[in-house]
Amino acid sequence: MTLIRMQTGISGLDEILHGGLMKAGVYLVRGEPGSGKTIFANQICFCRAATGAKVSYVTLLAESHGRMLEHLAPFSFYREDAIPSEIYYVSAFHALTDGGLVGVTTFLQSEVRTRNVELLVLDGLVSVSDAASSGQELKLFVAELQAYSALMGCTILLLNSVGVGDKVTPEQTMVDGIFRLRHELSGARHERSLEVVKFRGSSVVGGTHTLRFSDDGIAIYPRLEACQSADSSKIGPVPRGPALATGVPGLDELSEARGYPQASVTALSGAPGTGKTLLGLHFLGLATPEERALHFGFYESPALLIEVATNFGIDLETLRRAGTLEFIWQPYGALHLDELSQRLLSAVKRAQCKRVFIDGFGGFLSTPAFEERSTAFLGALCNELRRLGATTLIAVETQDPNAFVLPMPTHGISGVADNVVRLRTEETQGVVRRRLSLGKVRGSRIETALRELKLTGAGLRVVDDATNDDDLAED
Amino acid sequence: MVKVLIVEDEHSQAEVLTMLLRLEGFDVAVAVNGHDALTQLDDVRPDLIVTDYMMPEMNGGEMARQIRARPLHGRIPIIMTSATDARQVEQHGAYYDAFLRKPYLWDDLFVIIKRLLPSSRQQ
Repeated sequence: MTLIRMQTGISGLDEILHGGLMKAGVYLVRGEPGSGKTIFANQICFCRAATGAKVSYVTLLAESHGRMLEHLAPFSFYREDAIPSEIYYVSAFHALTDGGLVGVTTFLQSEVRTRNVELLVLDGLVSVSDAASSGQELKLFVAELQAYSALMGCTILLLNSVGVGDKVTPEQTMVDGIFRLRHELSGARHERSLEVVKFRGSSVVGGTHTLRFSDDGIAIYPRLEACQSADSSKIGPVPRGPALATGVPGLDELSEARGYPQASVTALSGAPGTGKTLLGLHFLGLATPEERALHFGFYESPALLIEVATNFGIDLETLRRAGTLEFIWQPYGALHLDELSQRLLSAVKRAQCKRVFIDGFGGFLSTPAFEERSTAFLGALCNELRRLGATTLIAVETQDPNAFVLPMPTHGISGVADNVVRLRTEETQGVVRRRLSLGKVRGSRIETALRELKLTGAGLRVVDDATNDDDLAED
Repeated sequence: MVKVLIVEDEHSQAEVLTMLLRLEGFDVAVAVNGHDALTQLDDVRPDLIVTDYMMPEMNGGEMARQIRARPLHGRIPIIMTSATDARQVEQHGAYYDAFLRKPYLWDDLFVIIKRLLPSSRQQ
């Protein structure tokens, strides 16, 4: 019998497992009370039932399942009409109290056989552990379940609470896979995660992955850099072609590439007010149906950005209405790193965006996991954006308005960016002027001289310092 | 009642298979390796044998070869099962009637059992 996969219906999980659970496998789902084990298992049940499969959900509770179902009802995966014909909730409480482990084994085997179920969940393995006279008896219980599930082609999920110490228990050595759910406080935030501790028959994306609840149930966000290292084909060849115009008069001429090289990542670094956002809006303003654009922002609302752009003659509203430009705004600091990257990358994929502006880098910096994963994460994110053929600008805020350096620590952005455009302001004779210089442009010779970045009624333009452009009105 | 001899060193496998066969109305005996099975043959007198290949003391292939050599038991249908490479098992291919790669499904085993049993002995 070849190994057949069974999709779980939990967003991100099948990606981590490289295709889903193994049919006829026995899996342990471990976690503290409240970590989401019950929802995790039920979501898989409803997914399988939606394919026409029969499912049994066995608890070891004395009370009815009404309360659990009440808690499941708000989730979009829940279908009342699937119960009990497709998903059958049943208690094995009396089987355990009357017959011990043998009683539960017989009960479960009968449940699988008589209802011909594809998936069986046993919620409350801790009660079985407590009833076992020894670790050996518990091992035998799992071994028999395993032998039975293999013969009957039934996948089994065993849900087990983790107590203090989280020590290795006998059943962990027996099962085909272990999912560890965690929820921990990180500052004032609740951080939930999933780790696939063990998975027989296939490699998985290792380490911990962010787990989030929404109206749709559980979603897992695989660690971007881990997914990429697990599949090197994802770091494929970078699309080549003519550079994309910057939309800022005078800026294209500063590099041999004549713009931002196609499928490259550009760091726009500068203090607040140096023109980063406007530089990005110029770039987005050149969007066409062939070069769709995305603004991925954390600060200003789309309405405000459209208004600002309009003031400088950049018509983003028409582009937005035509579907050529999309704005995705996310609350600052509310989303996890991998949730952000998935939002960004799925939008780029969906619309096949060629012009992307991330405004700004601080939105990623503010996430709890960034400090630990910065360089690896950024490398993976940039690789993925390049692979998708997106030419990306990232606004990176520096603190000192007179400085050209990137924030310290640099968090790897200067290393992973293909191009660096530095912005600053300086005051001469009582007049504040914006300055621009190119740090690097991928595969291109550049003009390194400091230039003035003039803000006019028509937006930004780069002028030679020697050029007297006093006729241009400073806005 | 049709008698099935299960030859299996994995206790839980044997236990589950026994239970399923009994539910289908078979009389079941269990041996833990080939040597044990040969010892039990005269007493059990099975109508069919379901055996694992990889077992301590005597594997399923050697057991099947010896059974075929016995005038009294030489025609008992034998179903060989194994999780190991089929090529290893094939060297004894002349001595068994059907092969199932582990893990196999009960439904598949049951179909083979019904096919191998004479119609007069069907459950």
